[in-house]
Amino acid sequence: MVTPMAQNTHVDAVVVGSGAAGALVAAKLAAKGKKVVILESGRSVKSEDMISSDINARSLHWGGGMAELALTSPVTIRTYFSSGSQTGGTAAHHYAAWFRLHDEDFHMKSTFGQGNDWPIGYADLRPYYDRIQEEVGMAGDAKAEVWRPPGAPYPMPGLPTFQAAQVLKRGFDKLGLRTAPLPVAINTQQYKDRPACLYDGWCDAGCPIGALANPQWIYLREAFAHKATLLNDARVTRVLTTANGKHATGVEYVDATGTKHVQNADLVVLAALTQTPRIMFNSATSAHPNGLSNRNGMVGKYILVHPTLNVYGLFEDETDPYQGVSIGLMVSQDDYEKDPKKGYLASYQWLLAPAVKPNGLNGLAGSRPDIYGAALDPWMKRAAKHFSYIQMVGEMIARPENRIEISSDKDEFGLPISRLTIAFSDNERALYNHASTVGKSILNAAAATEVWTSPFVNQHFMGGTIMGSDPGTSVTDSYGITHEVPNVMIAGNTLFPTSAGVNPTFTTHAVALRGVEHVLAHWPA
Amino acid sequence: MDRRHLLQAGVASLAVAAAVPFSLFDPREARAQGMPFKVLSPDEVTTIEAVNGAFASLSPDAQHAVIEALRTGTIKPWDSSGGVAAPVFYGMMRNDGVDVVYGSVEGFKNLDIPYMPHIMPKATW
Repeated sequence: MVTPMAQNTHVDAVVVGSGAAGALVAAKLAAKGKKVVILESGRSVKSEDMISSDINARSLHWGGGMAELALTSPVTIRTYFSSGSQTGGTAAHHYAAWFRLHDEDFHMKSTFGQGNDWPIGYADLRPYYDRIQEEVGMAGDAKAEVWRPPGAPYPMPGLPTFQAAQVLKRGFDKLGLRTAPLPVAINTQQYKDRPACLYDGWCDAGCPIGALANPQWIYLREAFAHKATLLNDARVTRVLTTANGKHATGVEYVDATGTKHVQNADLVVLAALTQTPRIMFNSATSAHPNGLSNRNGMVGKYILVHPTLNVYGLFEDETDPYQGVSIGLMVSQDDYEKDPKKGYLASYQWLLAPAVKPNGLNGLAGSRPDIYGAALDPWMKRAAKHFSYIQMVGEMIARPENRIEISSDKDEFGLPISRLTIAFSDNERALYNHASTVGKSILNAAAATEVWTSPFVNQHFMGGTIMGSDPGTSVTDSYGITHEVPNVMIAGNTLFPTSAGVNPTFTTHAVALRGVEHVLAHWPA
Repeated sequence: MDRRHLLQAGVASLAVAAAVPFSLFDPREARAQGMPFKVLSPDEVTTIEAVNGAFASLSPDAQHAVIEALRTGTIKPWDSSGGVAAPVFYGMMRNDGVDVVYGSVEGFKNLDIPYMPHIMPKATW
């Protein structure tokens, strides 16, 4: 139940969402003297709350906003894993695999006639990748990444190659596939005032020591240093606009007590991932009858995930899989090039040797659901020392029918929730089949004594408010400015017109930095 | 019923029969030790005792067949109209059991691997 409205003090900018993009935008606005309020629908999670247990890790993945995104049936794609409703959003538990998109990723439509084009190319983003990399700190080996787009070398040496990675690497070596240290926003040595990683393998539960670049340690800290304010349990319901709909005046939100607030601001930044389309739909007025800046009906369209496959193995060698980092230690992008002649149109990469704990979604036991009862314990004891795996992160073709719409169901405050309709196509299934065959060959070449694969799963969330050059077929321009309301900026993965075949968070940061600097240069919007 | 109640009462241990000592009691064992029911309702106690009793009376092969039918979704009858599909139920029960048996400092120790926490959990789960 919602109680009457409270009026908050006017600010320069209100940022909806405290994840990777929202935190960065808030920090850069605040650093330039703007008065900034961040509204986070989820609970407060500070570094000291990042308890090292898989059960705690799961609490960072589920609940909150995702519970308000209904899935259509039959459900083949779930997005809970790559979400998060708390301080730091999804990035509070992200694994910090920071990849640059390749130049070919920006031109899918014009090159292959499928998906979308980005309104920018790699050259436009490169300086932002380079600056973020230096500012945050990244570890890797640029020379070893022979497929890496041009850019500044990493400021820290690459991740160590523990036994699990060495064992898996021999499979890639035998098949002539090149590998390199996995580029990460994780400190391999002290960087600025943050310590080096301890390789305890608990990244999934959030990194409380600051070795991994989550928002708590990087951009929220910068935002707070410049007097930005964060309000938790503040669920934004709609963007408020002038009568003619051409200017946003702020947002309306409901706090944990059910009290409705109005936060007026000169700039509204929507960085709420899955909830960004919902907020826009719920902001419908007579001037925006289909939802905010949705005259063309593009809000909610082109939802994307990354098709994912794990190929597991047991080895005679000791692999000690419990240590390292959750994302893995090495990468291979030797088969990244998009070529329809392959039988599918997609890029993909392999990540080698993620740290694995016994339980949880990515745990040892979870890899073999067919083992139970008395057979489980001896298998677990063997796997705890001799298990490792490789993970395929693949590309999904952007299609408008994969979409978020507004639902007739409502949340506890009477606001419509959103509904996700999404499915893989034959193209993604062909990619899965190809990767499954290749992955098993790699594990066998690495002398695994048992090899098996995961089902066809997915990770990450992108699209829904895509950027584009044509206002008729996109929601924002290349800076994230909505086509119809110039003082509403969208930040985060929902801007991605295509998924590419790499983990998204580095690009999330680069796009957000480019966007906020544009906004600051043209202030007031 | 909260599946964790089921788990604490022992049903999920059907899927994770490990050689780890844990103080988990089913309702019959709890009653034998004079322990009061603080979490379970009377209906939940009755349900759990019925399920456990029926399962325990099966031969090991029959128990295996039941779990396999749950896992593969071939168990009959199974009415998922008001709940979850059988394989999902199996997965939840198994995962909860794995959490209890292996997802703690003791569980790691049983596997002879170090826990290596950044911040040690105050409670097992």
